[in-house]
Amino acid sequence: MGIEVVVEGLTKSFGRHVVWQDISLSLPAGEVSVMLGPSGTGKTVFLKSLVGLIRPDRGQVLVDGIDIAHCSERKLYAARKLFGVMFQDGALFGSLNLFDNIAFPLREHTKYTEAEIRRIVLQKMEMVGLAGDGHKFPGEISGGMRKRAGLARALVLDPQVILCDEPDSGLDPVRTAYLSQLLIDLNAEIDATILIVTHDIQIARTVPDNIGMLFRGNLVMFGPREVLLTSDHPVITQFVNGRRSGPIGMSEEKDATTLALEEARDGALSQELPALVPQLDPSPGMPERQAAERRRARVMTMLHTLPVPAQQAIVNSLGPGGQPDPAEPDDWEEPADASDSDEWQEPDDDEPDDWQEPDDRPGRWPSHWPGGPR
Amino acid sequence: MSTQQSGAPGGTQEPLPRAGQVPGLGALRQTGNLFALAASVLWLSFKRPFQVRELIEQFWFIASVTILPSMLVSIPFGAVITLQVGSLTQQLGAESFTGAASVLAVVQQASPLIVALLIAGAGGSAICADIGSRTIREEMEAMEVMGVSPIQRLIVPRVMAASLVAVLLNGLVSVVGVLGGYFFFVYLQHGTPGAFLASFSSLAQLPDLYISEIKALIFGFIAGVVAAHRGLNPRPGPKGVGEAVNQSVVISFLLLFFVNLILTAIYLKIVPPKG
Repeated sequence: MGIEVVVEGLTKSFGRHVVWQDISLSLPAGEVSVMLGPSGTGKTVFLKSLVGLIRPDRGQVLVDGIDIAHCSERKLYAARKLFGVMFQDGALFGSLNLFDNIAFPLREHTKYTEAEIRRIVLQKMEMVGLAGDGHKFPGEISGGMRKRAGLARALVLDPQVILCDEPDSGLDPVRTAYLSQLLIDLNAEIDATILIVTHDIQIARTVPDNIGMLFRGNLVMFGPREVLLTSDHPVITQFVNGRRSGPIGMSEEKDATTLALEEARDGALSQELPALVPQLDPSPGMPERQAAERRRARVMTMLHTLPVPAQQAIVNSLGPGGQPDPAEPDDWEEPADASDSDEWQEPDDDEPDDWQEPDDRPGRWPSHWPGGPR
Repeated sequence: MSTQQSGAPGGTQEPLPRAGQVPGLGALRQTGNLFALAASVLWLSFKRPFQVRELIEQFWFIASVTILPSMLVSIPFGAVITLQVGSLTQQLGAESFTGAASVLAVVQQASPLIVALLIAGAGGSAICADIGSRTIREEMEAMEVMGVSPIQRLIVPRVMAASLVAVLLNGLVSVVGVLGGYFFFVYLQHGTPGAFLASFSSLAQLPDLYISEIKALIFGFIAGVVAAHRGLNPRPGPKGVGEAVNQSVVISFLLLFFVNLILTAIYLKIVPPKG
């Protein structure tokens, strides 16, 4: 089972620019969390400070009893073996081919024989759909493949905590959906704590158990997914709807006059949010997500402290029959792509079905919005 | 775990108290970082696991890019010193000391500097460019996150290779430089071979060779550490790497001549001249 990551009062500034201040949250053990935020709000800095690549000015990051933010270099290197980090561009070693890249942590940290290393690496490569690409060099492959290779490399040491920096950036929506499914399957399989840093609302709506949002150097909110997805906080409704009018401006901040002008022009925009879509389930054949059960118990104990819409959403999701059945996808031809593994060809997530429903729901994701189906 | 709603997004942000920007503080910080890197390279050199393969590869690389140029530089350098010293000694009527003077100048001063300049210029710039481009591609951070110290894995073998190549190359350059000087003295200035060799053995002593090798070792180390330091701290972007390479060469040259001055002064103070 994954381990809990507790962040307390974290503050970081570069020179006079405060990136974020006083962030306190806790990533529950074994659950999937997403940190949202507009570009340039320090999401990546936050992720890097969780693994001690950036030392914060104040506050602490507790992982397995070790304060990552202040411990000695030696303890830090030991603690990092608990983490698997998927960097934005994969951060593969350009001088090594994919196989050697993915084998690198094993060769550095374990005494496995070459045959065992080969077995583990090939298994992870198949898991991310890169079977047969081991001889290629990072410079020769597409951005999506680099990301997947970076993920495979993050997985070889069986990490307790997996951090993903923008798994969606530079990927098409379909590949993003596959990657989302892969992360959920991964969570079901190894029960690791996962944090995804992203600004992709589609991932935020379907993947995580918990969502947080960073804006203007503050943590706007962190909690169960239903809380943020049903919130009427202006920043969150603007972000989730991908609208121009709201507190988020082009250059991060918007002053009060512009805001007032916008309000006068657009009138009172409906604060309605897109309807809550059910969370992704692991692909058939995967074990049940143990985190789902733990989370249910945890959320129920704190139910009375949550806002009413979130309470309703949670109760609905637990309603008779629990999660809605993932319907079979329509007869959709699979491209015969030999290089893709089975995991990547599973069309069993329920998104395509969801998108094709008739326009009968108030907050359905309209096709002309960013991140929409087509 | 708690659900929290922090203050309105428009809340005031107070910048954190920070030390005021004192001019020159940045340079001082960089110097401190450079020394810290040198110390950790020294410390991690004795820690296992040692990267033998990386060391051999880097050693071969640095040697292959420096051997030929340093020999080609050392022949004319030895000749120039001999010619200059020879014409001076002729005016003074002390021709018989030309050999000693030029050999000592080549072995003690010219050879370690030639070696260091070539290691910094040819090897160091390549090291800096390699490390720098890896840094901007986040490879260093990725390595750190995987629990592998980039300093131990990449920097230590490179600095060590630079130091070792410098020591060995110094021997080669000394020999080639002295031979070049001898050739020009005997064939162009019509000096007597016997006088060249006799004065050499009467004035030169073994510590001259030692200091030459010590200098080469230290210069190689400095060139390696400076290249690594600039490579690990480039400004972001490809342009930053180019600037870092440029800086690494300039900084190591400056440091080399300065350290050479200090080492020479110390040597002349503690080792009594022969004869």
